[in-house]
Amino acid sequence: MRLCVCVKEVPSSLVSLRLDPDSRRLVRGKGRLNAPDVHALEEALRLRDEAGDGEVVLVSMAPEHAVDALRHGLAMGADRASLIADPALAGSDLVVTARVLAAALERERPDLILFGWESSDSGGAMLWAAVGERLGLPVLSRVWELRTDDGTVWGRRQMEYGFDVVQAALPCAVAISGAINAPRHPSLKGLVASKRTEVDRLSVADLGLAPSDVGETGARTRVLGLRRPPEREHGTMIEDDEHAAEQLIEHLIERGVL
Amino acid sequence: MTDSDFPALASPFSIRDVELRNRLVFQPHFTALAHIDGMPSEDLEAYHVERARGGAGLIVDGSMAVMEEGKMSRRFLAIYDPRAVEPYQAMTTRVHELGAKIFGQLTHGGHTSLEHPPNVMWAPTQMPEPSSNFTTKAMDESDIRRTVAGFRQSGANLIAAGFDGVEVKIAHDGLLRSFASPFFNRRTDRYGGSFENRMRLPLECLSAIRETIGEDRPLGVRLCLHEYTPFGYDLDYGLRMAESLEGSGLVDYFNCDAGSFSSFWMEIPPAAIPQGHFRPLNQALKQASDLPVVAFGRLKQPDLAEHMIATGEADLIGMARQLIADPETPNKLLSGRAEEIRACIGCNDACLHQVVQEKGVRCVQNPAAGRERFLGERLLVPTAEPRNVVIVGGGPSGMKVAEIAARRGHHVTLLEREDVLGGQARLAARQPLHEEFAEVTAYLEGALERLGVDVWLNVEGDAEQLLELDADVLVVATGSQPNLPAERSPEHDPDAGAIARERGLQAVTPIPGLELDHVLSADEVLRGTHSPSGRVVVVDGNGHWEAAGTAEFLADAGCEVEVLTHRPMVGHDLEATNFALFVQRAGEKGISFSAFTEVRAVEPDGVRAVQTLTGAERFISAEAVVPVYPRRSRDDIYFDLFDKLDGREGVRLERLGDAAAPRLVQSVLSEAHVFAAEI
Repeated sequence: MRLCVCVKEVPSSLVSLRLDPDSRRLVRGKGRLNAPDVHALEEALRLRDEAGDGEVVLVSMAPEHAVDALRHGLAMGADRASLIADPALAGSDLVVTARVLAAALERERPDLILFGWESSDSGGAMLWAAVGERLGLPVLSRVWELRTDDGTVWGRRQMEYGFDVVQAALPCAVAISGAINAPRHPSLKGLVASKRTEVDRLSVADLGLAPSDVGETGARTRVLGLRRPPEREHGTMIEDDEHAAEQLIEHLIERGVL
Repeated sequence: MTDSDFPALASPFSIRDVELRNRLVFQPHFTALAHIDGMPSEDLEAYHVERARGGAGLIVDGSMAVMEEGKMSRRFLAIYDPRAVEPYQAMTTRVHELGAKIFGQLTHGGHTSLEHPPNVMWAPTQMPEPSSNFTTKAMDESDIRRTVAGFRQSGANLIAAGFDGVEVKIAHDGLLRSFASPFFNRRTDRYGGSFENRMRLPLECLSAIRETIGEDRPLGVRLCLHEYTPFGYDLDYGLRMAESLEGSGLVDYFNCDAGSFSSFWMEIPPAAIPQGHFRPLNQALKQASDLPVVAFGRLKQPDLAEHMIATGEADLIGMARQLIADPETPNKLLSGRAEEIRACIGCNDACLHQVVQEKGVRCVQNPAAGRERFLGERLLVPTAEPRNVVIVGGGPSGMKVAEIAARRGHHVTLLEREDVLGGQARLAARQPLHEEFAEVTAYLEGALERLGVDVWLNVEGDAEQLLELDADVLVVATGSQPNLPAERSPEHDPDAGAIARERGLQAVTPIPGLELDHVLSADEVLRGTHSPSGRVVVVDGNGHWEAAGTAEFLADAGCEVEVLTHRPMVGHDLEATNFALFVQRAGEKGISFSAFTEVRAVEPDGVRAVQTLTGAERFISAEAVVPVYPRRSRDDIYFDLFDKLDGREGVRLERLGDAAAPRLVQSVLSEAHVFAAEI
């Protein structure tokens, strides 16, 4: 069985996100694997290891510097990684990203495609649906328990008031809930092996896409402007001259809070 | 994040005709960077130029003596001497070129000195400053006239040297406060007896300076608003002094201050004093005065500083230690990079502790402080040949090497066996009132993220695996461990160092019984893997926070704690402000100290100790014993790598930080910076 895991390089939680006022894009430096994607990878590794055979392939659309983040996935135990790094991709939106990943996944012909539920930087939580739609595959979302068996995939899906038990035929796309597992840590041995594994580089042309299909020209959404939320006014300070509580109550009554 | 995150701090401000580009002031302080004769040095120039480059609006150079007898240290600046003018001109020119303004702060050391033993100390009335063993000289009218003349001449020299304004110190040390103080000034002549008479000398000095510098130059006062002693004056009196000074029409601004030599922990308060502790003093003066007010006192949080300006608590924000720790603080703050600021941790270990020994100012967080000419961050040269740098160990040493090497363009991989970075710094921050110590690793963690250092947590491996990473530079920064026997039960921290011990390169503390189960390391206590209760004996064998702070940690957890030390005092090597507050807290927490006491053996229900002065032995019962002796390196992996490399060319192997020799973090970070700046 071939399992593809779509992973994203995201800025670390220790770094504040910044928007470039000119390009209106998120400023991205080198980052880490998106944490929900690591849960998806762990699930793929578990399925492969339990089956006793198969292959786990990481697929990512990102700038070249994402190669180090992919190595972390390889060190955890993924067999291969494909990085679609092409300057033409700058400015891509969800629609383009889904188009590009779908094209890359078509080359792999996986039995199961796993996604993290959402990315920690943009938090869209829609990519898996868009990719599944493009590939014409069934999509199971928010899965927190997963099994495969004889050409089908079975999952428990966390819902607002309980659980859905869902089943679909393979191939299928699955968005994994963060609560599904505790991802393994890469070992030094895995790190050494990851340094020896070549990460496949794919360009837009390799995927059979035209430059106009991707980047800002291919995008179906535009960022028209950036604006800061309005400044909050400074609150009213009540100095305690032994009547602070009464003043506070008056203040709240005046504003209809009490 | 944009400029507008701190609009109040970013706004310009004028004092008389001097326009400051923003509200951030580098507060005056003793740097001990002057030459031994008090002449300004290249180091001092580089120190202030670095802060001007970093974006400070105003720099106030401090510790400038108005006469030979007014020097509290040989390294106080001899601004009274016209020979100081020329070297200072170079400094003020460079500061101005970088957009900052610079004032000079004049003082007379008076009844306070940093010299051991002190030279003659001048005072209004002969008596020792209560914290000193030495009696002062009561000044006569001739001394007073010479003092006023010294202020006048020094003010003239400052202007000739290109300073934009003059500040006079009536603050936590020095002569002028002692004249204003009812406790120190018992005179019955026209310089004492009444409030007006006590203020006479300060006002005469200000008047003399005003005469010489003219009406356009700013003249300010650093004013101690509260002495924080049982015998000294309080805020009400401080405000009365301010009213008198303002009413004279001689003063253009106030720079707030507090404390005295008898309450020196309030002069330059360490981390145990909460940030913003002195805001009520700043606010009170601001409300009472129409003059601009510079706020002081452990102000480092950008949000708090912004709030204080925006709400009118103060007009300017004074920072000394924060700008020592990160000269780029203003630039970072005002250009949307506040998260990159390297915060002062309030330790006082390298700034205050150094300068009171007449050693040039240093900083735990900033290895370049006081050494800007050699280690300034702008001197970090991008490497022409990026190398593959692999660092084993994610404590302060490994992280600092990673930061500096990555900044220079090397490819850096950092391996850490635990699931978090920080090493011992993380444990140190768990000691009571040491939370800010975590800023050491918080800064480095953020830097590594921004620089894209490849960090691997939870990885541990052998030398062969490490060599397979094809490193050009292999740094072993695996830290140290408490010096307890290797043969402890498996429930305790595992040992590393067997290879060194086998080769006679590492010795273990030779005290019987340290292998017993109720012997806990400070690391185990602070990490929380072992939580003793009841009576606990802590052995302070290193004199620093490792024992003192762990004793406090245990007392806070409800233990009855006795600390033994072979030295005259527990926490013997703590910096003075920290020590003073530590012993106050220890008293409140019921921690008992036994000095001149050495442990002979640990026994199952206590320790057998000897009083080193008398030789008398005693048994101290305890349910747990926490011995803190100088640590030993975790260096097995280094010796393994050393043997396997066997002189192989092309790989540089280095042992850094505690893995080389356990010591304080200041030394470790400095070593790491210097190493990584050169690879």
